[in-house]
Amino acid sequence: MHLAKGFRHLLAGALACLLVIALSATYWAIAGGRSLLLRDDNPRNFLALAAIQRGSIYDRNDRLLAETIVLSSALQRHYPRPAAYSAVGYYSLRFGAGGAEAAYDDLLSGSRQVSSLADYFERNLLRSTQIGADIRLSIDADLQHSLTASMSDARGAAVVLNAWTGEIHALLSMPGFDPNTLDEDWDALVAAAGQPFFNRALQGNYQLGGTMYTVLMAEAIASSFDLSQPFSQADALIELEDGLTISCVIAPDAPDLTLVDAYVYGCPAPFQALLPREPRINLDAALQGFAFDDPITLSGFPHPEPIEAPAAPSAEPLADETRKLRAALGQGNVTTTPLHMAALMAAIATDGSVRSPHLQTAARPPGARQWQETAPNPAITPVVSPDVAKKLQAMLRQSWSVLRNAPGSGKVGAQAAISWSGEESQIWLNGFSASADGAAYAFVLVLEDSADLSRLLAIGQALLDVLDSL
Amino acid sequence: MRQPAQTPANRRFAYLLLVFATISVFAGMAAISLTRPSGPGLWVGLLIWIASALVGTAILNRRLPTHDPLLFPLVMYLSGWGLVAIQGLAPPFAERQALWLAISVAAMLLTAVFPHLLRWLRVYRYIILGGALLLLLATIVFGRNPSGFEFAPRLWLSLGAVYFQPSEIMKVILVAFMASYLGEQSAVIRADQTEPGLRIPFLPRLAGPMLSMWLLSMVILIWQRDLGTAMLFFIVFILLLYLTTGDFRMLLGGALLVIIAAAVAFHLFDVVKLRVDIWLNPWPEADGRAYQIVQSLMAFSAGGIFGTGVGLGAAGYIPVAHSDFIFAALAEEWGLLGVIGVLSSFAVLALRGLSIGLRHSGRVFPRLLAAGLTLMLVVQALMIMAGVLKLLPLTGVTLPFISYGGSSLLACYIMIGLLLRLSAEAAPIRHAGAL
Amino acid sequence: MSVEAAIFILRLLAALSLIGFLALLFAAVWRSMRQIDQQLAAARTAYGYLTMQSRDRSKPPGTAQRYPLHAITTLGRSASSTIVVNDEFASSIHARIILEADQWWLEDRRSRNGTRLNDAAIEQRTLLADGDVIGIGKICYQLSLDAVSES
Repeated sequence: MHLAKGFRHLLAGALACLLVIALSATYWAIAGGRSLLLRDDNPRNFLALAAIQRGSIYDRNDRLLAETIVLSSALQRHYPRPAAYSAVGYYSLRFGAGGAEAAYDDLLSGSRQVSSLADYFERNLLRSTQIGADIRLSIDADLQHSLTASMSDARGAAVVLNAWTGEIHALLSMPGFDPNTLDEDWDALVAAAGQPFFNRALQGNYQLGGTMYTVLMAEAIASSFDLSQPFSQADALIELEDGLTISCVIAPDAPDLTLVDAYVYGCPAPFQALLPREPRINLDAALQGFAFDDPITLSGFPHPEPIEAPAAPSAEPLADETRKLRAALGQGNVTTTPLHMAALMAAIATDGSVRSPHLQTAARPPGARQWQETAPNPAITPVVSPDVAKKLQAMLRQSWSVLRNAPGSGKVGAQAAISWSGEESQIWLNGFSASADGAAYAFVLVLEDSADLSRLLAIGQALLDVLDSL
Repeated sequence: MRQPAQTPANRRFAYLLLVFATISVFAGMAAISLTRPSGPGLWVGLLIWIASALVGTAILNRRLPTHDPLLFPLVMYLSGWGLVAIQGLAPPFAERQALWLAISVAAMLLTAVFPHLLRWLRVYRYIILGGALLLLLATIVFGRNPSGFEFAPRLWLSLGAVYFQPSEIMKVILVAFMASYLGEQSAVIRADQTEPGLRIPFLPRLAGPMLSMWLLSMVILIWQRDLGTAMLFFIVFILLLYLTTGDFRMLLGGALLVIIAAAVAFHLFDVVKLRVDIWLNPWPEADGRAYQIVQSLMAFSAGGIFGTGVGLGAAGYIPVAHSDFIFAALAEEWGLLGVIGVLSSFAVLALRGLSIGLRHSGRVFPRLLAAGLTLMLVVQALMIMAGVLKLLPLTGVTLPFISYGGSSLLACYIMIGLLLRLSAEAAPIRHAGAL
Repeated sequence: MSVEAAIFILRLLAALSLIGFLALLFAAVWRSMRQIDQQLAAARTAYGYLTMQSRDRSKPPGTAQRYPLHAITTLGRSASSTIVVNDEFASSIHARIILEADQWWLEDRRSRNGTRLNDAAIEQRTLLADGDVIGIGKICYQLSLDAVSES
């Protein structure tokens, strides 16, 4: 009977169509969906991100640096101490994360790999709120705040390290931003001339300038150069072929200086004369020991851009001899970052070895009360021998008392230096503060577009005042 | 001739199915009440659903003891499922949907127990069809859109605060009309077919009142830009014609006509062109005109195999997810399991509906009526499910029983009422031919 | 118990009851399809036979005609009947014998002249036993059931 046959055909057709729909749904649910879910316009990704309860960030004394609060039924990141922005960074649903917020995002957002069945159950079946861990940074909120205040409108960077542990107590790049109002300020910040998102302490490639004297001095000591040997006309200006003039940082009382005196006053002439006079002193070996070509970085943070040849004031190619001369005066093709320089100062302030700098010291999983230490043993890399370090410490102390024009307590040693980066000069203050009980801090201050020694010293003094209270 | 042992088992079976359905719907509602702040409307909706299911089953068992015991629990479960989904997506609509559900079940019961309805549908078919066409005409003149947007299709008639879509009721009436007309003509058609030399001699008979009525309603529907419904009517018409004649060329001819109509509509209507463009390549315009379909596919992907869990999906981001795209919302929250559940339900609906038709051996009108009603529901479901999965262009029809929409729900339940009535009057299974 | 756990349990419950619902549904569909199959098969099985006993005693008893007995056996003058009764008093659809709940029943199908069982006219469906004689018009059929018929 053909009616029954027609019914059978229609039923078979309907079932086949349903099967096709089932297969298509299976395709989208299993195979085709991967790339689909990663699309920007998938609201689920944004919702998942917005629902994460990020962990808080604390400073070394457990003072709150960042937390997640509920603001008009949405979760919002709040920074009670915005001065720590260079270390803490920012977190925005629209613009992503920077600084520690980005570097330790896995911890803070709690986005760990699914490792166990219980994890899978918790995450995929219960779909419980993703809660991140709290982290503790080695940053000192007071130090950070006072540095921000004393640098005020200056452009530049500051780094303070615990020389024996490598903990970073201050990390500052000026000008900065307020992470609390990031979403509103974003366009202005991106367009700002001072490039607030450029972290000068970590990324700034500065010419060494006078800081090169430390390198040369370390090599001189190591090669048993007679440090009492006097240099005549030591306070002379050095005029390079391209018109760049380099002078002493502090004018010495007498023109004849030993190499140590030249280091203390920051005079270039003896160091320039040193290289041809003393073939034992190997400039390349010295530079290699200080590892300027492999700067210290913080993983997860922005890295310094590849070093370009410094722009010379004149466009003509410089003669080979001049280039060597410039290199010896820290105006060659060697640059460094404030963090790297701080690590070298830390090596000098201790036994000549760098303790790898780090920022995060502890983490606290959601719900836990106890902190778990994360970096108890920093890697140790020798830079100079302990003996050289000791001698350099003494010279830096001497230099600091000359800089302040007052006898020092012996606690602090520091060297001021000027470098020229082709377009503008920077002024450096590199030093350490070591107390009798063995604690030692290394610090580096850099002011861009400045040769203002008194301002540098004022900021340095303010820094040391806070360091004394640590 | 009744089988005394079978009826109590039927009754128990319907209640057993409803117990499972109730647990599922209750669990869904409870989950939603936990995931988001919701008022008492949620529980009121659940109670209305349970009351409709119990009252419906009780009355059917009493008045139509030999009805198909699977149909009513099946569609109630689909409706309950829809209610949960709507509650999660657009709570204010869920309350209205619950009220419409109660009205629809009442209408279904009336349809199922009304004594002479089937005969009247056959005898007064021209009057009923004329009335329906008048209603449609009224929609063209007085039509509104509940959203109030100026350019939205005006497919609704308003009676005070209640909006009603006449094209939904047209579905029932057109199926009844086609079944009765084809039933009357089938003897002649088949006699013609057996005559040698004349291969399609029945065409003049169909080209008479049948096609003219048909074209009239098609024109009105296209005029109203309700192309999904027009397409649905046409497909069901072709399938019924195939059932009556048993001629495979009917399907080929129908497919050809659909393609021609689609090509014409593509060039005439911007809406159609838009939908076809989006269907062919939605990706470049994923944040614009193709937003809906891309988000819909995303919902399927986000659901995966087991789904996100009731109330935890993000399908609310699909525009009008509670209506046309409810299948995608279900897929996200229930995963493939839910998709297969919905598909199996419609498969069982197709199987049972068509076998009701088969059990009316020898009588062509109830046979075609059962087939037509079943096909109307199943083809509509296929059209929208294929649409949200980008297998076909979107046609803007609802998913029967599940989607939000009062008129649609009412029409679907009236169709189920007719099917139940037909199942009660059919010969017991033993007299049916094998399907 | 946390809200998440409660939602998960509800979700599990909803999914399990969905699976239960579908399982029941398919079981019912499967059962009814098997029923159709069985009945089709049963309709083709002979459970015994009916022996025609003409009242016309001119023929010798040994030549009596035997008809196989199916689960639904219709009797009548119409050619579509299982057993075509060639008697002017028989209606075209006269009576039927059906197997239901392991019992054999005789039903009169509103025939003009009625159906007799063991020479008594029946009013409603009546239980049959081995050896019963069914009378339609002038013709009688004796029922013989196979011993191993029900399975």
